[in-house]
Amino acid sequence: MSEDATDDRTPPDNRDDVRAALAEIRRETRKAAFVYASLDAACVVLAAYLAVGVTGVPLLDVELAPATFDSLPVPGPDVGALAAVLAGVSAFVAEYVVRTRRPVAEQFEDANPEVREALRTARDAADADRANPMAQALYADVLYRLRNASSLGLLDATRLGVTLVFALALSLAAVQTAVVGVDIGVSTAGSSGGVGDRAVQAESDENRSSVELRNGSEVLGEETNVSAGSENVTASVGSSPGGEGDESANYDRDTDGDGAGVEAERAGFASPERVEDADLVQRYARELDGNSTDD
Amino acid sequence: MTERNPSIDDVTNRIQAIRSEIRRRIVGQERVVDHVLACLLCDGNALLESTPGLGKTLLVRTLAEVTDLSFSRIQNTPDLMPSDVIGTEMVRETDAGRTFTFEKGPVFANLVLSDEINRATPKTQSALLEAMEEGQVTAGNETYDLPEPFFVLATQNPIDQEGTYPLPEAQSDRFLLKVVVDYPPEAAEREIVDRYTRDVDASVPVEKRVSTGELRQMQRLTHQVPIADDLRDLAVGVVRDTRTADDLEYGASPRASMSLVRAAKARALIEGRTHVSAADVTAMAPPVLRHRVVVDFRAEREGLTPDDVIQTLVEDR
Repeated sequence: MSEDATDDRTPPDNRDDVRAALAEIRRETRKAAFVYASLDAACVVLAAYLAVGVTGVPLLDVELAPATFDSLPVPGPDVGALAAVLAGVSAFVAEYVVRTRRPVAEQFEDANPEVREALRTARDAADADRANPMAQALYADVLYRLRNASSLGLLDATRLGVTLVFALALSLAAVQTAVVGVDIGVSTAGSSGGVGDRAVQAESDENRSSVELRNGSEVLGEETNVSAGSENVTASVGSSPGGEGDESANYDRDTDGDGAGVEAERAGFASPERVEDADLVQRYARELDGNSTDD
Repeated sequence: MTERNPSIDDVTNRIQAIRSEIRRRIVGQERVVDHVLACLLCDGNALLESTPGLGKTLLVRTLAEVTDLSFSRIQNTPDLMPSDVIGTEMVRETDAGRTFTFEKGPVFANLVLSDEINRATPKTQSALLEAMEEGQVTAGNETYDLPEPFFVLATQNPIDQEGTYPLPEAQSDRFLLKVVVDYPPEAAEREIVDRYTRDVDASVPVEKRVSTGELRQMQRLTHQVPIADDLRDLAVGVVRDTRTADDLEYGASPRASMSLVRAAKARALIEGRTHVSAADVTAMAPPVLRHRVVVDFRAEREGLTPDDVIQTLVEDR
C-alpha cells in the first residue's frame, strides 16, 4: 500500500446512490405510516359510529341533505356518521404526522439492526457532502448492507393483526347495534321528557331517598277518611274441577263494576292448509258456547 | 464481505498484522495494545501508568520495530535537564574556527519512550511536553522541527510511590490517552514465563509490518472515519458532563472532546469498521478522560476514582 496507489484506486462516488437509497427508505417509511394510520383511523371511525349508535343522542340522528338522498336507493348519512368520519380523518392525520416526524433512518434502523449506525452515519456524511476515501468506503458498505435489508420490518405483523381483529369486532358491534337498536339512554342536556330522562330521574330519586329519610306526612299529605272508592272492580279467577269424566270446558263470565257481563268465548282457528277442519272447529265452538250458557 | 474500497481493506489488514505482531511479544495486554495502537493512528501521545515490570518498555520497543519508526528512550531522573532531552548547542573546533552546532537530543525520533516521566522535575517534563504539543523544539535562537510522525509514549509509576513529581493537570491534558496497565490474568502470566524463560536468548523476533509512509496514510484515513452527528454529540456531552459532575473538582477541556472523537475513530478502524459506533465512544471515554479530570476530596474519601465517575457519566448518557 502506498499513498500513490490509493489515488490510483479511487472508488466511485456513491454519494448520489446513498441519497437515492435514503429517499427510497423515506418512501417506505411513509408507506408504513400510511398503513398504520389507515387501520387505526378505520378503528376510530367504527368506534365513534358505535358510540353514536349506542348513546342514541337525537341530535346525531338528524339526516344530512335528505332531499339529495331521497331519489337515491341508499339511505342518507346522519350527523353521527359524519362525526365518526371526521374523528377518523383526524386520527389518520395525527398518527401519520407523528409517525413521519421521527427521522426515517432511525425507524429503519429499528427494523434492520444490521445497518444501525452505519446508515445514520452515511446519512450525515452525505448531507455534509463528504467524499473522502473513508466516507466512500462507508457509502459502499451501507449500500451493500441495504441490499439485504427489508422494509417489511417497519410493519409489526402482530400489531396489525390485533388492529384488524379489533376493527372487525367493532364493525360487528356496529351492525348489531344498528339491527337491535341498543340504547343506553344518554341524551343531550337540552332534551327533556324522554324515557331515558324519566328513568334517570327515578333512579336519582331512589338513590336520594335511600340516602336520606324524609318525613312521611310530608310525602303522603294530610290524613283523610275514605268511605268508598270511586270505582269498584271485581276480579275473579275460576277453575273447573278436573277429572270425574267431565271433559267439557267451562269458562267463567267476567263482570265489571256496573254488573255488565262479558260472555266467555273461545277463539277458533282454522289452518288454511286444512280447510276441511273448519266445520269441526265451528262445531266445537258452538258446543263450547252451549256449555257456557248452561251456567 | 462488503464491497469496500481496497485501500481501506489494506489499512484494516495492516492494522491486524501490527496487532498480531505485537501480541507475539506482549501477552495478556490486548486492551493496552489496542489503546496504544489507537494513539499511534490518531497521531497522539500516550501515557502508560503501571507498576514496574509489566512490559511497558517492551511494548513501545516492539511497536517501534513493527512500524519501522526511529526509536529513542529517555530515562527520566530527578537530575535530568531539559537540554538532555531536546539537545544543546555545542562548541566545535573546525577549520573555520569555533562554531556552535546543535546536538540533537533523544527527542528527535519518531517514537520516543519517556520512561518514568513522573520522576523528572517539572521543568524537564515541560520541555518534553512542549515538544509534544508544538512538534518542534527551540534551542538558542533556532527552532528545529521534530520528525514526522512524532509519537511520545510516556510511562509513569503510580503517583503514590515515593520520589515522583506528578504531572500537572494542564500538562497531562496533552496526552491523548492514559492507559492503565494492569496485571495480566494468571494464564497469561504463565504464558509470559514460558515464553521468556525457555532459552538464554529469550527475545521473540518481530517483523516490520508497515512503513513510515504507510503509517502516515493510515493516520490520514483515521481522521477521515465518518462519525454520525448524534455520536459526536454523545462524545461532547460526556465531556461536558465532567464539568458539572458532583464528584469532580473540575472537568475536561474541549481538547478532550476532540480527543474522544479521534480515539473513537481510531478504535472503529482497528475494529475494521468504516464508521464510528456508540460503543467506540463509550469504550474510549475512560482512557481519554481519566487523566483530565480531578476527583474532589469528598468523592476521593469515599473511594471513588476518575474511572468510576466517568463510567457513571457514560452510563447516564
